[in-house]
Amino acid sequence: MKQELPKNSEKDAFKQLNRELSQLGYSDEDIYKIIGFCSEYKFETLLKHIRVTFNFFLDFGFSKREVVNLTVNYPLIFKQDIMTLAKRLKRLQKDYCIVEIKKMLKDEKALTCIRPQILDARQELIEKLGFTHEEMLKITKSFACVFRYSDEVIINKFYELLKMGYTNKQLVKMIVKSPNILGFDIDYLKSKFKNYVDLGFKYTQVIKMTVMAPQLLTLNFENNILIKFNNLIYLGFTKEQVIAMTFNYPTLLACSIDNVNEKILFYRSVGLADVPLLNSKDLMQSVDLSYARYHYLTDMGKNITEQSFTALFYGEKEFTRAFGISKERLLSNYPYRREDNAKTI
Amino acid sequence: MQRLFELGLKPSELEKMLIDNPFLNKLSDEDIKVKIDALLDIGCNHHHIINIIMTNPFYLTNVISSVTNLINKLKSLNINNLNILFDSNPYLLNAETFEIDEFIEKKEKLGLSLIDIVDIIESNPYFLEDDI
Repeated sequence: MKQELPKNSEKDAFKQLNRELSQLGYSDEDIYKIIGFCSEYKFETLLKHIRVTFNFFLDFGFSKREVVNLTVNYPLIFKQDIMTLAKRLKRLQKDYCIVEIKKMLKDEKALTCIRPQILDARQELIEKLGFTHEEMLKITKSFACVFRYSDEVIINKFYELLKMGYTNKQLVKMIVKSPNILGFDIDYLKSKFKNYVDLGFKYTQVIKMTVMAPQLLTLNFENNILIKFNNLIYLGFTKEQVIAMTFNYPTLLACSIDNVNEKILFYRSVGLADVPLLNSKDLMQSVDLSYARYHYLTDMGKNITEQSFTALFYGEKEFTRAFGISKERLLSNYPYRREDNAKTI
Repeated sequence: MQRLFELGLKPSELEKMLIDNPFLNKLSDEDIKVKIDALLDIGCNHHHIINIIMTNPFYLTNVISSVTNLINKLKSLNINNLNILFDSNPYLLNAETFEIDEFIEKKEKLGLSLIDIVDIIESNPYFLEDDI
């Protein structure tokens, strides 16, 4: 935002402003942006506001860099009365620690414009919808934008989601796990549902899957989920198999492609190609652990086949009891070497 | 974002992560560094880190104190190999300590001992997802 240079009478004040802001760490572009947003102030007045606000945030626990980032992101903060600002931050401090407040201000720059009474009301509303106090705090610090929404918007979104087929308990669980669900337009979420149904999932399956893995609703469908779905097809599974695998283990479609491929190819390399089909949840186990267990058991003379592989996925205690080795020792004795797997593939 | 490129992420991968979590754009390299350091501290290797941040692009925008509290909570339960746990379920890093406490309390009410509950957590990285 380029501003015209000031007239002679204000030149000195501008120079002073420019010098002090540069010393604080603002770039020329930042300075022009701030001046642009606070154009009703004379340079001298603006500098006074900046000094007070800057020092206020330093005292509050922000670093210089953090104040610069915050204020460049939201220069209007320099127009806020310092006492009002102090009251609002004090209110936030009642429920959130300084690190959380910094994150919240980064995510929702206008948070300092929200009056304490509004903040109280939003928090109360969220709790009334069925969330515990701790859950409400998690939601609001993870997704501070929710404070900007009106009561009506929050309530409507919640009830629209209920109408989609979730129970109140399921919805609470989903939002606690992925608070940003509240940020999505309801039609967008409905279109996500349609995407899954179009792929071949039943509507009731989508409900169950998204309760377990709400990220399936928030991750981009075309650029993420669909690519992962097609990757499994590319690996040789049929569409029906992928649907069954995903229904059993919904996060499968949220896992990174490299990670899923690495696991599937590892099982194929040791003759256990059907593991993902027999119980796709087994794919959640880190390949490091599967590799270590597989080699330990084969070194012990066990024959691990598709008929006898369940020991690979025993619970921690069960495995230690059955085979007398801890996870630590296993992982250290049989470190997974990715290049070996790549060679066998 | 430089730190993410240094890890080996391609611009196209980063672009996809930004679509899923636009707040990533607001992170400084220092913000990213502390999150990666937290993973290094629990023994994550390069592959684990890449897997975690690509699977769960929301991890990087979590509050660091929540992450360290979660790690300390799991450590206090004598859960070792957190690198393997989080590599198995990167989304577990979005959980808060109260969710672990609630899970334990719920299972204790069902008659399970703490040792059994810890075994569930270690053996099933998706224990929170399965607990509907």
